[in-house]
Amino acid sequence: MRKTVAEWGDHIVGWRKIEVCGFYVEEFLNAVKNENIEIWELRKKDQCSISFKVHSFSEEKLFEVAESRQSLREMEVKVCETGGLIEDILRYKLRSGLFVGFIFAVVLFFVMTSFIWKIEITGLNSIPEEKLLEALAENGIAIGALTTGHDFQQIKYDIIHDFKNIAYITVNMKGCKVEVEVDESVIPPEIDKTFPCNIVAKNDGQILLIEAYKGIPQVKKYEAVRKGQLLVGGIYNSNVIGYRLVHSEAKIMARMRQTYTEFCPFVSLQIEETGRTDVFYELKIFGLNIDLSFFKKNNYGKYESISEETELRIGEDLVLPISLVKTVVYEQNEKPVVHDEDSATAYIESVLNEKMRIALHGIEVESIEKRFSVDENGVYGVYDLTVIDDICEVREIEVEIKE
Amino acid sequence: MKRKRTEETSVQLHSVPQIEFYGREQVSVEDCKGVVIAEYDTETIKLMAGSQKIRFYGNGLNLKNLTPCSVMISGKVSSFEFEG
Repeated sequence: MRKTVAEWGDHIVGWRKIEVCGFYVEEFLNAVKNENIEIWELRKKDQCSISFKVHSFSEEKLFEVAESRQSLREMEVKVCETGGLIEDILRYKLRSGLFVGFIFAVVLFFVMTSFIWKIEITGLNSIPEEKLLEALAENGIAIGALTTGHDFQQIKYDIIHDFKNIAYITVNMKGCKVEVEVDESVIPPEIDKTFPCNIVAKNDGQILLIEAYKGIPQVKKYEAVRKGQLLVGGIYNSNVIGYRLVHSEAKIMARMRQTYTEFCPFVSLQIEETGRTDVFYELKIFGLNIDLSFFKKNNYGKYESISEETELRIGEDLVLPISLVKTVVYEQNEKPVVHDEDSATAYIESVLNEKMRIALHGIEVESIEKRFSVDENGVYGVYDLTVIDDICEVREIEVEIKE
Repeated sequence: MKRKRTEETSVQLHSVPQIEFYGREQVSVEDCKGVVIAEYDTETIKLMAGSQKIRFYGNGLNLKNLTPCSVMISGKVSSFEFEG
């Protein structure tokens, strides 16, 4: 039965259940009322006896009331039940193990909440999380470290100093959790223009535009070139000072061919779920895994599993190093899929279109030629494309120093 | 003159017990510092407030709470009357 706040208050203070027998029950109640004693849960047992509850601190006064008059002295007043927080504690006074266990639990709770058990990092794009965690660990912020004694301002300065592309960082301690928010800045790429190099063709093609900024152009507009052919040379022959090496730079656009192929067999195996699932649980304490599915085994031959980890936490910020891992296993089987010519062709088209969409992003496509061929195994699809793209490939000039 | 009469009336009102009925299952009698329990039975509870007597009739009547300033009666109240 749920207790009200007043009932909890009465229990903490302590109560006595009193039984009164005699002829002058009403007189007794009036005398109790006049002495400012509060009683509750009155029950009339029969014509001459009642029971009620009174606070433990009023017990002595109650017995004084019972002795105050001749008529009341003839009444039988006795305590038949006691209760309260003090009584509950005294009931278990000999069970020292319970008391020690309670103290241990309280101490363990305070000790556990004095360590960092989770580091949450948000805002990272290009920087690997492991690198930032390493940098934090060097500054004393790591799983298992104490939550106190950290100079967060200094940690922020150190990390901004170590990571050039971090514009701003905040590090906050909330309970057992450290929240790190990062704002990355965009750094322009460093281009090394110190080494001497040639520019060669990365594919066969026809030159459509050539603008040489540094180096000696070796081809002309509309000229056909082969893969690897020299387009801009980095060896400059000065009649005055002799040969010198330069870092070639140019913009060369060319018409090139690109080919994409795909094959779809008439009979293939497709993996699909049967609908049967099974659930397994694991308890993780301080990184140690304890399998809770003692007698359960995964009997599925082919399956896919998805795991979800739930951390034990008190409120939002008090994260403890105990978590429950729930793994749901979905049974799968291989189903033969039969294609006819039309469905195989449609499948090839969708795959090749997707390949093209990713590879040709931002590149001008002049023409597409699609070809499909069929044999007893399946359908072959070939896309021949003519694109206009940058044909430049930088190749370093190797210098041999003879002694 | 008028003000004195009003004061006298307000003093009189505050010196009588206030009776509140919660349906017919519960009755609260407040401001009953001078009220005396004259009779206490499962079918009749009689309270005396000076010269005035209040009697409650019903079934399963019980004095649920008793404090220096209030009395709470529970049970199935069928009627009550003032005597005197």
